[in-house]
Amino acid sequence: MKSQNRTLSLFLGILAAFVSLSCGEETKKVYLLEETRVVAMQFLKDPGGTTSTSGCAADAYVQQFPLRPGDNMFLRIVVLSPEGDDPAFQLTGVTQFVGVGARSGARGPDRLDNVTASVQNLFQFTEAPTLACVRQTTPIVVKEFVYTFTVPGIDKLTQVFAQSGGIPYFTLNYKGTGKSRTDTGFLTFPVFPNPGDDGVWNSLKTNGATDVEIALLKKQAQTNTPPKIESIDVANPALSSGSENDIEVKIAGDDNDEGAKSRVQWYVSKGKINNVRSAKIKWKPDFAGKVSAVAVVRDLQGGVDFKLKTVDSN
Amino acid sequence: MFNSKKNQLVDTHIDESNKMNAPFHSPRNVFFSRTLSWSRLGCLAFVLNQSAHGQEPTEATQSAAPKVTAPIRGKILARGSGIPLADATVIDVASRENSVTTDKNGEFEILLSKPDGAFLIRAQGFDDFEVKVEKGVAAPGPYLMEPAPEVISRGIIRARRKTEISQQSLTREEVSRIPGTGGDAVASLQSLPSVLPAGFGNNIAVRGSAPGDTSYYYDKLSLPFVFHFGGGQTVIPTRALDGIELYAGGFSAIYGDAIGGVVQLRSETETPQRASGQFELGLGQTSLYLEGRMGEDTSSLPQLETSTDKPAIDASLAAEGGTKSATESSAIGYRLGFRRTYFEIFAPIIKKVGGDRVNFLTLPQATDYMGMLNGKNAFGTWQLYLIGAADRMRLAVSSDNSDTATGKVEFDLFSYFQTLGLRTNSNLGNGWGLSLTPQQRYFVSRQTFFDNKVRLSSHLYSLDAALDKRVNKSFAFTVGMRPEYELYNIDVDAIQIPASGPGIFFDPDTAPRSKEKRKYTSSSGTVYLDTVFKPVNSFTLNPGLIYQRGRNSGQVEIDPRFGARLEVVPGYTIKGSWGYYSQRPQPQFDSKEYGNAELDMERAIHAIAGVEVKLPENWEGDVQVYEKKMLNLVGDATEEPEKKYENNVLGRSKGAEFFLKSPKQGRWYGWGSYGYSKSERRDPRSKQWQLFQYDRPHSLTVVGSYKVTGRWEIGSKFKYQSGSVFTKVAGGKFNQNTGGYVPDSEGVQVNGSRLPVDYQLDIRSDYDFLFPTWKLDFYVDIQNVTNRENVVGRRYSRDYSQSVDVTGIPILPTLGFIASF
Repeated sequence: MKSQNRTLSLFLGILAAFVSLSCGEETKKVYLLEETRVVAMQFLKDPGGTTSTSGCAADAYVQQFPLRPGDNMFLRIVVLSPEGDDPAFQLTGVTQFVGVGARSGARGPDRLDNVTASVQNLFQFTEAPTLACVRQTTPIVVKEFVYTFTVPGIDKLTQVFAQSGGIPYFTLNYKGTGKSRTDTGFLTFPVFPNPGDDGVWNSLKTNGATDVEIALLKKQAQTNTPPKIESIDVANPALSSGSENDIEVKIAGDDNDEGAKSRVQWYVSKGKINNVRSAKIKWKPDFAGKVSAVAVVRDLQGGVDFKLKTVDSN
Repeated sequence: MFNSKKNQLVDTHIDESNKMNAPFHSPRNVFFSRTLSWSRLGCLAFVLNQSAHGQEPTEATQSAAPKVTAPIRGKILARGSGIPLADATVIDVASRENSVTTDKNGEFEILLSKPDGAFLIRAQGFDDFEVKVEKGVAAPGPYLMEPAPEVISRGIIRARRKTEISQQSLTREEVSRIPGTGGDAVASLQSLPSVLPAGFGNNIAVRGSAPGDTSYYYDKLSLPFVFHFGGGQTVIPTRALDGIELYAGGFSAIYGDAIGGVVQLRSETETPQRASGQFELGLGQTSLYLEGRMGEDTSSLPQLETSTDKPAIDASLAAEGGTKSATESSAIGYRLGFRRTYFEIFAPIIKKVGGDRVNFLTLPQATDYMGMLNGKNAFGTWQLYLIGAADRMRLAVSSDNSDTATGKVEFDLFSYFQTLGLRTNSNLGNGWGLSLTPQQRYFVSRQTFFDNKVRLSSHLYSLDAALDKRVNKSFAFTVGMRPEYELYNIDVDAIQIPASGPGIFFDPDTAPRSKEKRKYTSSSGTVYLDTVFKPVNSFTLNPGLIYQRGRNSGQVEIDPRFGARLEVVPGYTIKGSWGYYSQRPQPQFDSKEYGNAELDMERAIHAIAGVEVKLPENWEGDVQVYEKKMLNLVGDATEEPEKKYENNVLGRSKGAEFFLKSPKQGRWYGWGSYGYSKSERRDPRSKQWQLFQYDRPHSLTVVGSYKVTGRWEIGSKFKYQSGSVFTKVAGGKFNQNTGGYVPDSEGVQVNGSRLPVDYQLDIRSDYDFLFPTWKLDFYVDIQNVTNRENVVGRRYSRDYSQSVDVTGIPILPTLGFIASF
C-alpha cells in the first residue's frame, strides 16, 4: 500500500551534489597553479640497484603496485608551485588499519574503519626525503621528493591475517608547504601478498573471509599495470592566448581500470580550461608567454603517471 | 413542478388552480388568491397582518395598470459553468412577497404583480440579479448569475471529521489556490505544522522522520512514486482529488508500512452530475481533465452505507467520516486526466540568461494520465482506476567534472508506472461492510548515471481487504489485510550509496560497487484489527493491532496502537495516542546483492497529546505535542562491514505544533501554523547523537486568500523557518588515490552548523473570465515576491578552502490559463 519515491531517488542525491560542484567558479581554484599542490605520489622499486645521480628518482625505477613485502622501494612525490616558490614536503603521519571493507570491494578508506591496534607495523620509511630535485622552475615549479622505505617479510603479513582477518591498509598523511598555502592530503594503500602465497590466503580464510571475498582480493592483489601518459599534444605548437586551444593527453596501459584513461587531472599555469578531468580539453591561457600544463592520471588502484608540457602562448 | 419556498411573510407556492387563473389575475387578485390559498391552510393571522399594512392596490391604481396576462418563465444558470441553479429565489420587485424558487433544472415561472417592473434573482453564492420587465416581457433568458465574492453558508461549516489523532485536512479548493505551490496537492502540505522540506522539490520530512518514512495513499492504491522526479509535482492531478489529509503521527492500525506520517489523497467518489472539464495551458505544462456521467439517474436505490477506511460508529461519523451513501444515481461516472510538462522548451532561454553560470542544463519531462469510472450497485459503490506516470531526464554534455572517456556528463533517468485497480465498498447488511481493492501494477525504472546503471521492472499484485462491523452505537471494528506479491527483474551495476544519502564525506570514487542481476519474487503483507469504542458520545477509544511481514522471514513485527479522544466540554477535545510503527527498509537496502537481505524492519514509537478547539465563527484550533523514538533504522554497516547495511541507527524527535484555521466563509479563508521540533540521529560509529539532516526547529506558515470580487481572488503565503543544518568543514585534503579533495573530517561535527533562517512570501492571483457555459481562469503565481536570497545550502570549492552560499529560487512568476466548463 505504501507509495514512495524510493528506487527513483537512488542517484538523485549524488546528482544534486554533482550539480552543486559543477556550477561554481571555485573549480578554477584547483587547476590554476597559483598555490602549491601535491599532485602525485608513486611507489617505485629499484629493479637492479640503480643509483640516482641527479637528486631525482632514477629513470630506471619502475612503478610497483600493490605493495608487497620487500626492500629497496621508493615513494616519489610530485609538488607543483607558482614560479619563484620553493615548496617543502613532509609526511605527517601513518595511520594503519585493517581493510575489512576491501573484502566487499571498497577502494578507499571510507569503509576501512575496523582499526586494530595490535596489527604489526608493516611499513617503515625514512623520516625525511632521501632525495629532492627541481625538474622545472618556470613558468611553474615542479619539484620531486623521494622517500625510501621497506615492507617487512611475509610472515608479518600472515600474522595480520591471523589476528584480524583483513588486508592491512595504510594511510600516509602529508603536507606540502609553499609560500601562500599548505596543501594537505593522504594516500591510502594496501599491502598484499602475492596471489600465489597460499599460506597467507588460507590464513585469511581461516579468519572468516569467504571464497568470493578472497577471489576479489586476489584480483586486487595482482600487480597493477599502471596507466602511462604517452604524450601531451596541443593542436598548434603555439597557443593562442585569447582563444580556446585543444590539448589532449594520450594514455596507454592499465588493464585494471579502463576508466583511468579519462580520469585525468589537469593543472595549468595560466588561464582557464573547460574540463578538469577528461583526456581532451580546451585551454584558453589568457597570457602571452611561456605556459605550462601538467596532466596526471591515476587508476584508483594505486597506479599513477604524470607529464608536463610547456609551450609558448601568443 | 416548482419548488416551494416559505418565508416569514408569504408562501410562494403556486398550486395548479393559481396557474390556471394566473393570466386573469391583477396584482390584487394575485394577492387575494394567495391569501385565500394561505387562509385555506388556516393562517388567519397572516391575512390580518397583510390587510393591516394597507398594501392592497387601489381600484384606481388597478385600473391604470395594465393587466399581467402571462407568467414569466425562465432558466437560471451559473455564469462560467452553465450549471442550472436549483433553489434560487425569483422575487417580484414590485411585490416582494411574490417569489418562487427554481427547480432542479434551474427553471422557474412567476406571475409578476405588474407588467412593467422587474424581478430579482437571488441564489446562494451569487450576486443578486435584477431583470427588467416591460409590458410583461422580460429580457430573454437564460439568466446568468455572477458569482459573489462572499461565501454564505446557511448551515454550520464543518471540516472533514477527524478520525485520526494527528490529522490535518485540506480540500481541493484550498489546495488548488495556495500561492507558491502551483496548485499541487502534496506541495500544499508544507503549509502545515512540522512538515518540513526535505531534499528535492516537494519531498517532506514529517515530525523528524525521513522523507521515505511517510506513506502516500491514493485511496487504497499503491503507487511506486508519488512525485514526478522524486520531488516535483504530484502524479495525481489536483482536479482528480476530493481532498488531502496528513496524519503526522499516531495514526491507527489501518495504516501500515510507515514510521513517519501518512498522506492520504482522496479521490472524488461521487458520480459527476454533469459533463465538465478543465484545460490548463501554463508556461511549463499543459493538462486536460474531463469528467461526466453515463446513464440516467435513478432514485430507486436504497440508502446504503458502505465500508470505508474506518468503521462508522454513529450517524455523524457515517455522514462525515468518509462513509458515503449510495443515493440517487446508478449512472456511471467517468474521470479522465492527462498532463505533460514541457519545461525543456525554455532551455535556450535559461542558457542565454544564465550565460557562463550555466555549465549544463537539463529539464525533466513528465507525463501522467488517469482514467476512472465509478458507480453504484445494489450493495454499494465501486471505482475502477487506471493511472500512469512517466518521467525522463537525461543529459550528455561536456563538463569540467566529467568522469567519462568522452569528457561528458551523462545521465539518463527514466521511470514509468501504470496501475489498474478496482475498489468496491459494499454494505453487507446488519452493520457489516466490506471494502475490496485488488490492484495490478507495472513499474519500470532505468537509471544511468555516469557508469552506474540500474534496471528495474516489477509486477505487483495486491489485494486490500477491509471488513468492518458496527456492532452497536458504542463499538465498531475493522479487520483488514493486504497481501502483496511482486515479481522483480533487476539488473544493477552501481556504487554503494550510504544509507543516510551521499553526504559531504561521501566519495563516489572510493565507494564499493555492487552488481546484481536476477529475477525473483517477493511476498509481503499486513493484517490488522482496528477497533473503535465509544461508551459515551464524548469519549472515543481507538485501540488497534497490526501484523506486518516484510520481504524476508526476519521482517516480522506486531505493532499495538492506541488512540483516545475526550470532548471535555462542547468544542474542547483532548486527545492522545501511543503506538509502535514499523516499515520495510527501502528496497535497495534489503536487496540480496546490492544491500543486506537480512535487514529487519525499521521501527518507531509515537506518543502524542493534544487539544482540539472549536472557536467562534467556525474557526478551528489544534495544539499537539509529540515525542518519537526510532529504532532499527538502516545505516552503513559497522559491525560487519561486508554486509553493507545494518539496522544500527537510532533516532529521536520531539516537538509542539499549533494550528489555527478559518473555513471558507465571507470573502476570505486561511490558516496559520507553527511547529517547533528537534530531531536527532545516533551515529552508529561514534555512538554520538547528532542533528538529523532535515532538522529545522521553527516553522511558521500563514496562508490567506481573499475574494476581491466574485471573479477575482488573491492569496498569499508567508513561510518562515529555521535554516537547515549542514556540516561545516574547515578545509580539504587531497586524496591521492582518486585525485580529488575530500573534506577534512578532523574536529568536524556532522550537521553541527545551521544555515540562516529563511522566509518567503508567495502571492497568487486568479481572475475568472466568465462565459455563459465556461470560464477562463487566468492565474499569476509569484514565488518569493521579495526576491529574498534564502540560503538553501553551502557549496565548497573543490579543495574545500572556500565556501559560497547556495541560494534558493529568486522571484519566480508563473502564469497560465485554466479553461473549465
